[in-house]
Amino acid sequence: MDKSGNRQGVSRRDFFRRLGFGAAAAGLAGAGLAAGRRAGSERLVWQIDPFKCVQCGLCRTHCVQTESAVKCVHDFPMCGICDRCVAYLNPSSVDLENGAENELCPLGAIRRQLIEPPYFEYLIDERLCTGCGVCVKHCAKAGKGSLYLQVRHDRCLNCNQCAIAAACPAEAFVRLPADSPYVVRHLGREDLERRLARVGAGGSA
Amino acid sequence: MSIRRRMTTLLRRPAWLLPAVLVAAAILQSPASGQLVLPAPEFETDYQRPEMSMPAAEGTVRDAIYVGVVIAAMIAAIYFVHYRRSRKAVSLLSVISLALLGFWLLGCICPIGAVQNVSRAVADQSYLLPWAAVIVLAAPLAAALFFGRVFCGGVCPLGAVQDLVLLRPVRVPQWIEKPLGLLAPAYLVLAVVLASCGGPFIICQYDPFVGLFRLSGEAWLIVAGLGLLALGTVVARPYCRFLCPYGVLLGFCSSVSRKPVTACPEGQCVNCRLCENACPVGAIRPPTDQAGDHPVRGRHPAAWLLVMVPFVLAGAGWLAGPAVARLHPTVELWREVERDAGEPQDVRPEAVEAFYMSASNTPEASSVYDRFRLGMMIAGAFVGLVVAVQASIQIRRPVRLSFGINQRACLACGRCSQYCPVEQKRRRKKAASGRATVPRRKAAEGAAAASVASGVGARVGADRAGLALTLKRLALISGVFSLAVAGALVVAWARAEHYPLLEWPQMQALQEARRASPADTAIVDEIRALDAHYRVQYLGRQQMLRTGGLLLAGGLLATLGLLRWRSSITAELPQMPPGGPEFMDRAVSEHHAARGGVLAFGVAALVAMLAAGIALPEIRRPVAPPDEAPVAAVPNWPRFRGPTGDGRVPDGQWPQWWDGPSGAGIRWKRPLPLEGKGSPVVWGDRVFVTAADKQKRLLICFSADSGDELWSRELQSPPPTTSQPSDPPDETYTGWAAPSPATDGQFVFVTFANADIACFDFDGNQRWIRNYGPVRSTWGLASSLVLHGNLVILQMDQGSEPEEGLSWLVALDKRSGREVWKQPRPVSGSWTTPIIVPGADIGATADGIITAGNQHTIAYDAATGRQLWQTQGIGADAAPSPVAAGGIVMAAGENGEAFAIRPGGDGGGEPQIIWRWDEGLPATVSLLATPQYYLQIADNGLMTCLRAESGDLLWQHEPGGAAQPSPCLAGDVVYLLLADGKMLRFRLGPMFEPLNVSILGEKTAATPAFSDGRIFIRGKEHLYCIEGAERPADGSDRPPVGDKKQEQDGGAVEVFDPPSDDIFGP
Repeated sequence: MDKSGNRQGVSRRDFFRRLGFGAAAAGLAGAGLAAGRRAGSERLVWQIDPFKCVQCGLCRTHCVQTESAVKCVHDFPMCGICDRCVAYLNPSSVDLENGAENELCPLGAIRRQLIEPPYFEYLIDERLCTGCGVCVKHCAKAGKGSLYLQVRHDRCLNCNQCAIAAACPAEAFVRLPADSPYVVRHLGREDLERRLARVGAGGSA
Repeated sequence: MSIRRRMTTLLRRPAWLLPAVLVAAAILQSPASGQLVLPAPEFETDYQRPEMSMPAAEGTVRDAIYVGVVIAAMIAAIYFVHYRRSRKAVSLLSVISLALLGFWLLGCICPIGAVQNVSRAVADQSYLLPWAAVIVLAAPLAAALFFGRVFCGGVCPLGAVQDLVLLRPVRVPQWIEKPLGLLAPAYLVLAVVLASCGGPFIICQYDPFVGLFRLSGEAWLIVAGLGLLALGTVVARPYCRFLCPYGVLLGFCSSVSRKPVTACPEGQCVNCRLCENACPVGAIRPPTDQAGDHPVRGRHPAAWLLVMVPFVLAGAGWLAGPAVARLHPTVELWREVERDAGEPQDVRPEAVEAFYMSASNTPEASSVYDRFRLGMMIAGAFVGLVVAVQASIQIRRPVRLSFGINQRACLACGRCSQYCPVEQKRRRKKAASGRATVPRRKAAEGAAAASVASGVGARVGADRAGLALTLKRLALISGVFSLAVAGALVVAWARAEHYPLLEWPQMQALQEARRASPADTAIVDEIRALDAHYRVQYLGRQQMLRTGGLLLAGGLLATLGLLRWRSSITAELPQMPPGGPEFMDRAVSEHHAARGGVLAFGVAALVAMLAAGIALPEIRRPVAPPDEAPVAAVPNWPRFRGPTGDGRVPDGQWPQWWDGPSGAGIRWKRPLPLEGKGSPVVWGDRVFVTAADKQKRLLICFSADSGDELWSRELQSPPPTTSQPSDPPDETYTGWAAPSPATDGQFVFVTFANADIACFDFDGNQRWIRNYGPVRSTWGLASSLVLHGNLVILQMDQGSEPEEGLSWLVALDKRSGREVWKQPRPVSGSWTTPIIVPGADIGATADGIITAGNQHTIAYDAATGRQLWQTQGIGADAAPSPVAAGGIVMAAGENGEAFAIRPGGDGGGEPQIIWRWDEGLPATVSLLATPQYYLQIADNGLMTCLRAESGDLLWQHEPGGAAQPSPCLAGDVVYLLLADGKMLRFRLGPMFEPLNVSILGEKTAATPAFSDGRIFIRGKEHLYCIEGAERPADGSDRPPVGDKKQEQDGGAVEVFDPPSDDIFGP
């Protein structure tokens, strides 16, 4: 074998190069085709399954953004619109009035408005909500569960691996199709499960 | 993708189907939503409830934009690297890519991370793989096959940010570079193993630069990213060279590329050596025999040992599998649950709490272990192979006659062509031809001038030196500014993390004070002031973090820009590297050192994997939960009426005859200290029996083999204020220990007439106890415990009217005894035990619990306690437990009727009663059913066999004795224990077909237990273990003559004659 890179034949190094190229090209094409067949056109986004969420508070701290993309939402048809809201008033509140001494939310992100006695409407101010889940916990335990945490898609960066999902102790993070990215609680668990079935195991985090 | 396939894909996923599905979903939805939605009150105003705001998520368009940017940038990079050969253009392109892919599109889904998505999709067929991941993964690799790593040079934002900070590259010695370069393949293979085994995506999780793009992220990762960038000012692209997992794949494709990256126009190298030191990543290989020295050749005598490296590392990988598996969420959960079960804590980890709340089965970690062992074995072999190949390359130094580029390492940044005189000549020619624009010509001229290596120092005039000094000072100022901002940020960050929510101690104290004196308005004012203070602090700090991040980024950028400007003025051209014999000697010794480094890496990998596999205390292998094992495989009798709770005995050889008085066929007989009517339960070699009187409640554990009493424990009950029943239990029918225990192979659960529920482990330690007294039951509690997944379920029906609201079904967490759910039942007192039925058998999606009560027969979802359906009850004093077979649920009560229900499932269908029967009804004895036959036994012993599907009468027979224990079915043979201790065996079929009778010689009320070829019978005073004996040859065990004849519906008469043998005919 001529080591000086002769012009007549193919040098050993070139031969191996071509062999390697052929193998790599074939492998890449095969793998690409196989993966392409499996690939779905649906874009998936992260979401919280409120039926599994335990309101541990990690959503507030584990999002890659300084201000978490997870916030509390309110499914109004489920709300009892009572004057004594367990998620609005803290457990030791003596009277049913507004005010820092009575409110549960540490940032006052829940706004309470009188509809007509004795009904009140509760609205979330998302600019203040940190996604800590304190109100959600109270609503889940003693209320109707109309408050729950959701990934807000105007804020979510949709990381390939959601940092909160990796930390979630309840394994409550799922992936939903981007065209219907929220869980509407009053539609029930079945609605969520139907959508999860649509995306297969891509839905499980 | 071919047109045809695209068409089929379109047809498979037609866009018009979505609205249809949504409408259908909305229609189907209505019954379920009714449970949750509260009817809005009639408002006097025209108030409308607001809609929940749902900001849309970015759809497929975003992926398309990302992919488009990547592909466009790649085409540009190919053009710039191969055809323009312009460092400036590549550099500009990389800055644009950084801005678009990094700061605008924020990184995801990048080709580096996409490796994991594809690995997951390969391993998990149901994983939905985003198409963008496939394209961004494959396109740069395909490009590398033809044009080298153009992606790294011009497109990758991670590379671009590192390239930007590179000020004064130093050469990394081979003995450091080579082994460190092996980190990347190890990282790649670890990430692939984790992703394909269902673990976390570590490449994404530990991406050091993405936090900089987003200007937020985990603090330590951002610090790590900044640290890498600081290192990157002198060591070119540290992440790309030593860590990037995707670079491994690109490097391989690039090393066999058809049109490799070159410094000079192809085939025109003049061996001037000017480019040699221009490459910041050390990818340019000088010729080996420049100075006439001999290259290192031949083989090392011990080189063949390298063959073993992959095998050794594969073995180590197999050992390290479980340690790596800890990163998997299921294994992590399993470990926490195990730890909690070992020593229950007051405050449990959230994950364990969530797991208990979800009422799911024990996490199935063992298969994950197997996957990780296999995966890590392959990973070890791969790393071993890379180490061996690298080491062997270092042993045999190839001969090279001219300059070449190590295509695997070349990142296509285009720096080398700046310094190539041939290239400059080409450019000049091109410029002279007039096609070049003025600035381009200028650049070419400047570069050409720079290519003259002499007189560099002289070119840096006094004015330039002054400018350089100014730039240096400015850079220093902005650097100090950045440091100050960083310091302030760290402080703010640390304090922001301590932001307390409801746990402000000061606030708690104030709240307590307020509760003590509600009228004190001063306290209210104080609370408000404190609250406002905290809010201002918190929000202010948030704002500070945001602006601080921006300031820091700006400061760093300014520093960097100034330093780059300065270095562009003061930079000296690369010096001609030294030649001659010393140079060759140094090259050879470096070569040897690199070999040592590579082998040291292999040893380090081996030690790390061995340490992970052996030193970490993760030895015990997780087991699959026992209650998931198929019934046939478990020779245990874990609860009342056996594994399925309906009296069906697992397949096996069971004793046919015994004789208590003579001891024939009796393996052992042990006295019991107190009475009880609960059945024994058996798990492996352990038999558990309860016994109680008014004062004491005992759980006794015997050895199944020898009959030795292993331990006996008295329940340590809660204070007796509530724990005594208001009415003492009826001694004839129930007594103090009527319910049977239940076991899952790890714990035993018991309950007694005073409504104590307790959990013991197999060593007799009481793990928890709780009491549901005071009991208000006419006859005393008799319902046995049922296990499902992590739940212990008790049907507690009491009171004389449903309206009293005393009855409920409760599910406790096995490990802690905490209530998981509690479902009120609209029934009065009953004595039945519920059965667990697979969802498929009752038309439901989840496993169901069927309960029989006086007023209603109700099915619940076993996991959540949600009611599935309800139908008629079995009348007053319900005691026989229901059965289910062939998709039909059957229940009966003495004061009601017997009936069969075809459940409607949980889809909203109503259960249907398909037949009824009202003769010879059972009072206490539970039912027995197969898909063909239904058997009920009245208290006086009258047996009635109906056709299960239709309720048609098949036969009736009276065995000549009262019945109380419930029948069991082994194959097609019924074992019916009568109250006087006689065991009647007969075939269940269209006709009554008696086999034989055995005598215990002691009264009994408990249903027998079948396990491991033995029958355990609890008599009034003794516990018997029966292994059976040969049936007497004289046929003396034949059953007595029947005394009841019954006409069948068809008119044929079933006559019960004295047996001629075992076979009976009409």
